[in-house]
Amino acid sequence: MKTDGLLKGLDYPVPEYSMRIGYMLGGIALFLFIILTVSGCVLAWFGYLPTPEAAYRSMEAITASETLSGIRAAHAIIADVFIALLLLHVARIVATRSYHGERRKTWNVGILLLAVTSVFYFSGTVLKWDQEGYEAFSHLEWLLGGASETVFAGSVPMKMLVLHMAIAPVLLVVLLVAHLLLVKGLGISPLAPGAVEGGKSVSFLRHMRYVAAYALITIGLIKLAAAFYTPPLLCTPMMDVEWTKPPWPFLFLYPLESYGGMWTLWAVPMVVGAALFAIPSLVRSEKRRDLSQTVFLAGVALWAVLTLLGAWIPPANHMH
Amino acid sequence: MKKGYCLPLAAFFVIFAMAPLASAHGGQKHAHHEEMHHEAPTASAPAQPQAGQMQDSTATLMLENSSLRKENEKLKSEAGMEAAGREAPKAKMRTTFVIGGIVFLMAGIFIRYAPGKTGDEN
Repeated sequence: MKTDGLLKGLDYPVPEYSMRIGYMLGGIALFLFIILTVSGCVLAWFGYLPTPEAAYRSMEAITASETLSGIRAAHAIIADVFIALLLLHVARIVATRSYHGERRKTWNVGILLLAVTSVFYFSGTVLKWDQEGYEAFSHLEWLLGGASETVFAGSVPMKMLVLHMAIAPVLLVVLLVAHLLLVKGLGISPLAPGAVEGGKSVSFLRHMRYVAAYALITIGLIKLAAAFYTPPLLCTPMMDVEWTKPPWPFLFLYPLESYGGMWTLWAVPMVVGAALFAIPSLVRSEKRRDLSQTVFLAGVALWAVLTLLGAWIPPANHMH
Repeated sequence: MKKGYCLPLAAFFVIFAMAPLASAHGGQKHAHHEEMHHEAPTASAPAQPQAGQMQDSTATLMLENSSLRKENEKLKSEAGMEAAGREAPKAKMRTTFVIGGIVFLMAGIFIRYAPGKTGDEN
């Protein structure tokens, strides 16, 4: 294979099984992130106005615009697909138990990446500055208590924009570089224990070419979906009311908030994070099913049930 | 260009080319959006001042305008709440579909990449 310069550095052998879709999910998500960055910059540059007075009106203008509405729809759908891909990526890592030994570092950095992704999703929701965005912000305000007045003094949409377009991206890039260097240093994660490797290898460039191809097809499908679906923009924010529910990545918290109280909003994410960091410690054996996997699957089942419950229970006013 | 690039690139451009065709439906989508989020009675909406009228505007008018705008925002919020109530069954189905899809794919990943299988099966 003829490659030169930068490409030569990527032309190293990786196991042939890395050509399976399960080993490409993180790579596809990376390509989607590039599109998220570009579309987000276009929306911020040409449409969004980060002041409390103008933010909602600018969102209305974006939604009414022939060009920007499609970009906004694609941005929102890609964000959903990005999170779904990361969840599937995590599932594949747990399925093949790829957090053994040295690879635990890669897993830990991955969990931090997941946390930064939720910051992206949350701040993006608040940026809309509609009823949903305002209620999301009110919950954060409650969580921060007295500190929120200092942290968010001035324009809330502007601060959220800084979080969304400067702080979170810098954190993500730093963590992503660490994640990718660990993957390169330790090698692509192995097959599940007990699986027999074929011993064949392919170039990492070939692997990336397929990742890019799958990403292109995914982006094309999202572009198509964006023509049929407009992400919701609710009414202008009203204080002292609460009638929206969180978007699906945070919806599992909704029934807990309804039945357990507001304190669950900080306690449960902490417990979920701690459980994810602890999962590699539960690897016990080379058996077909491991305690770490059982705990993960139980967590997924609980998450799914809570999310569906969140979707089906009636809206409640938790803060007033 | 290498052979391996042709199929995904072709698929990408075909799908991309289809998107504008689908925007005919997109027109309906916008109409629906307008209905959902701007249902407040237009009679209560404050009139937007024209360039020539600006000279005549007084502090009183501005105050009235401001209170009318507030009233309008309130009406819009109430209308939005009602519209969200009507949209709730759709939102429930959409969430069920998304969560069902993710759980289904996760189960597929676990079956496909489960430990104890040979490399070929994986």
